[in-house]
Amino acid sequence: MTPRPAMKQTRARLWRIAAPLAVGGVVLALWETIVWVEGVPPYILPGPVLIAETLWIDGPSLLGSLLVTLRITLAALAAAAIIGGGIALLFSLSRVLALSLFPYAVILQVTPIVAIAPLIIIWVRQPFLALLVCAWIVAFFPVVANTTVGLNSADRNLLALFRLYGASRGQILRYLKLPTALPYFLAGLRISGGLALIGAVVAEFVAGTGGTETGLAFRILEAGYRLAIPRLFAALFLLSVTGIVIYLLLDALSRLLLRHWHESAIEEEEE
Amino acid sequence: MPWSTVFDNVLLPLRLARRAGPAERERTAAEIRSVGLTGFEQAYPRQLSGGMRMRVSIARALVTDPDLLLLDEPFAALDEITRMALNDDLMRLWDSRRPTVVFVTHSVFESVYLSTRIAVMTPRPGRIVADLPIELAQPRGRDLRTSPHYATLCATVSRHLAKAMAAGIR
Repeated sequence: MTPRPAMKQTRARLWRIAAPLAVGGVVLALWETIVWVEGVPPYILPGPVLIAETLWIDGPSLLGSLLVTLRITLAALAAAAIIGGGIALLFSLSRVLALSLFPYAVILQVTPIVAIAPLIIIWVRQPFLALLVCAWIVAFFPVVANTTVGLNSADRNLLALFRLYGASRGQILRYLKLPTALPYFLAGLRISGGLALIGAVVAEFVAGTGGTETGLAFRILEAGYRLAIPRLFAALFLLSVTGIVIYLLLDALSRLLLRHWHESAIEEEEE
Repeated sequence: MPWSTVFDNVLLPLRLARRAGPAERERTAAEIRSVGLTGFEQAYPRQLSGGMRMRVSIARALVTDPDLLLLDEPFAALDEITRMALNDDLMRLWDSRRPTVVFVTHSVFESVYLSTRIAVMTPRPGRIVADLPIELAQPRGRDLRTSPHYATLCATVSRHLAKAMAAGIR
């Protein structure tokens, strides 16, 4: 008996969730077994069970640190979206500005953040702001680069149509270039989401005890010094879950905004 | 514009002219009705067939009530059945307001069916080599396509076109 299309679809969706979960389960089981059989001490490699226990015990205090890191990450992401989008807009409005400033955006991007973070921390007195600036420097470039491409990719025929009807520059921007750039902007934002988190973590590493509040990165550093490896893994786990959640949220936002018309947001061919 | 509904696409010329009040909205809705897309006002272009998208384009061109309409192979990508239907609709729309239409096509049958006057052009360089009046009664209906007179006219235009193509190749 051949399965009906609806059943086939449900089964495909089930596979998409079940297959990665199964792989994860197998890897975790293998990990636990090796740690158990070989008798690896927890300060070298703790088993998943011990990590889960630590996560449960240290959870509340780690969650507090996570909140600190998350605040920096989200603020940096918001700044990347707004300022990055603004820079791209300026670039598209003025060719001279784009030509003269774009290389510096690239320089800012390729300079390792670890190298300039100490400077920023010295210059910007307020710790939260210093970390924010570091994370923003890492995160803003994908938004600028993608949005600039998007603003310049307006359909030639549509552009001709707009000119034919005597559209002003402002109208072309509002009704043609901004909608065209939206998918590009959102793609850039998805990359920036992960980078903002990485930037925040790196900046915290460099800052050390940056102020009274300690972020998750500092907890990792501290756990490493104290050989509290299970706690290190627990913090690491929280960090990657945060990254995944940020990505999923931005992906959902992108789908929501583009669901009516963009190919990337259309699930399956209808009918 | 793929990101806008049919309604917003048709309203665009008026919006660009900064005239998008209630009267213009009413006019947009009427134009969508006149090209036979009632009920699709809030649909997005990707939900429409090729023929329906072309109807949206025509509605958008007509919404400003122009005196001159320039159509460059508008129906080239459509299948024969859709094409004939759109030909008839175009004739009906033209008949109700009589703008001047310059219609570029690669189809001899389409040209004879729609025109009052046909200019045959050579390829590269594009020169007009024949100017043929088409004296067929208005309104033209489906019966015309099978009439002997229509066939004769098509043959004449085809002959001129073949000559023009030969001239272009040399």
